[in-house]
Amino acid sequence: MELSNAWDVLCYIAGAVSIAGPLAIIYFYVRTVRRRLKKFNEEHPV
Amino acid sequence: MQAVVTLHWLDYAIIAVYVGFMLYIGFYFSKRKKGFDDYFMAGRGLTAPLLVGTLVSTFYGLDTLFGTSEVGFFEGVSAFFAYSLPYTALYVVMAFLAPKFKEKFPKGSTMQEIALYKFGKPTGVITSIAAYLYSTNTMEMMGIGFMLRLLTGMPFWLGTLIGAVIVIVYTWTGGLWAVTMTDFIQFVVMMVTVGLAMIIGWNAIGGVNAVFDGLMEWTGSLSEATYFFRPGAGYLTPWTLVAYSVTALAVLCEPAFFQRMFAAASPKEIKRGFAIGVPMWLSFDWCVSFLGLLGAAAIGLEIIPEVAANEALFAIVGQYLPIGVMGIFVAGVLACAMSTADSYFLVAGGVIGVDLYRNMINPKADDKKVERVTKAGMLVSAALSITLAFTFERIMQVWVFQATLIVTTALIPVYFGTFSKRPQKKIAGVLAAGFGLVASIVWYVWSNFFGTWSEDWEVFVIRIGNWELWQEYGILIITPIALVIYLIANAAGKKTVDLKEA
Repeated sequence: MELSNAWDVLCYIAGAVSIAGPLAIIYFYVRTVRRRLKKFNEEHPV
Repeated sequence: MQAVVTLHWLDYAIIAVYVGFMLYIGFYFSKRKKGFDDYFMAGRGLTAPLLVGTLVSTFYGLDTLFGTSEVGFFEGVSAFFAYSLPYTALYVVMAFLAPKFKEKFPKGSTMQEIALYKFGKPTGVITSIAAYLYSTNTMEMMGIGFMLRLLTGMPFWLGTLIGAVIVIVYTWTGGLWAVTMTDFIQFVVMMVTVGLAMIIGWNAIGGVNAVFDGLMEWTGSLSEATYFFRPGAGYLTPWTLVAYSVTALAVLCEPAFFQRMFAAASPKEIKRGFAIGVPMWLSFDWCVSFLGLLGAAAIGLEIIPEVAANEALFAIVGQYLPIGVMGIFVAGVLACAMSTADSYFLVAGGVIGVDLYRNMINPKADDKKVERVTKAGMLVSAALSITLAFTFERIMQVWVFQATLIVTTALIPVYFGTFSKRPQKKIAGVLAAGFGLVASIVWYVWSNFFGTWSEDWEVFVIRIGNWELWQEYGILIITPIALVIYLIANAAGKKTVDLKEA
């Protein structure tokens, strides 16, 4: 009995989201922190 | 006991570095906190990325990892479609409701405070008791003990004790900042490692058709193997399925979620936190369910030996993950347990320190005193968790009991108190919450002592005439009665309470 390849595709998508999701969140978090730091340094020059 | 998976020294080194790093974060934040609000509410400055990490990792612990994979092992894809999807629907609901709680109670710290403000001290005390019992880390303590036994062969009690000590140390020292930062790291580790195991394992075994062949070998028939790919409810009765689905209502009155909502920088941040969390929860559920199914197929294909359902996940990843990555996976599993345990220890401490001591016993207490009482509450919770870990036999049994307790006690006062436009009567909160708490405890004690144990279903069954009631049905019976009690008492009652936020 042949099963639909959709199961394979969905498993790989779920695996990919599990890996890429947290990494994307780290990326956006770091980017936001860097922007805020840059803005803070511009507003408070040494 | 023989270890199911053998680890390389490099794997152990990775696990040691991970645990050491978690402890370091606790000490780092202990030096930087200023006052109790910083300790318990992370200065009310949590933004969306940190919220996603702490929300996802807190709610998904070892019960999800082992429990869902165990259901996948026996029931196939219905582990995802029948058990996980009701929870996902309620995460979406929370994405809309959570900002409203933050707007209505901007200075709030805990869920129980809502019951206190709207229904008075007795309801505040009753919901606090339920929140404290709900927040005992029995499942996580059982899970850590079970996992260390699988990996090293060490006794269950020793593993449980080691896990409790590590988590308590960094939660004690660093508070919510430490919990949130460690949760974020733990969220990344647990998600990435489960995703890696899913892709590597599924590909190595040869995809869905190889999995199906393995299931045919394992079950011995085509129809049994086909059953694994039917998104129905498996072998469970419809009422048990409904009862399991109703436990998802715990998402709506989850004390750790409320602490994070109130600690968020703004309502917008908490909404984004939940919204981004939904695909994370969903993908994690899918991976864990299918890793369980993969384990059953791998036994059929003689890739792994015949192991128990809750050991299949480890056996299958131990088979495919290379040295080093296996160490990261074990760290991810530990992360699952620790991220949940630290949050609930802090919530349990908050029940004692904030809800009972600061809000009711000594409103003029200074920050240091409240922090000391909160920490004492955490220690008592740890002792209670370890004790209960030796009392219960199944992880799922603990979860259904705790979900029943919090849903039947807190859901009605918290939601009517927040969203109802009618005046809330003091007696309605007391009777509804009181009934929920007492009835849940009585139901579980009664079914444990006077019910009969069904070997087939592995549940306690109570027989009343021709009726057979499973212990799991408690939530279905008690919740509607508590609602009716609330509605009648609120219509008949006279005295209202509307305390202002502290």
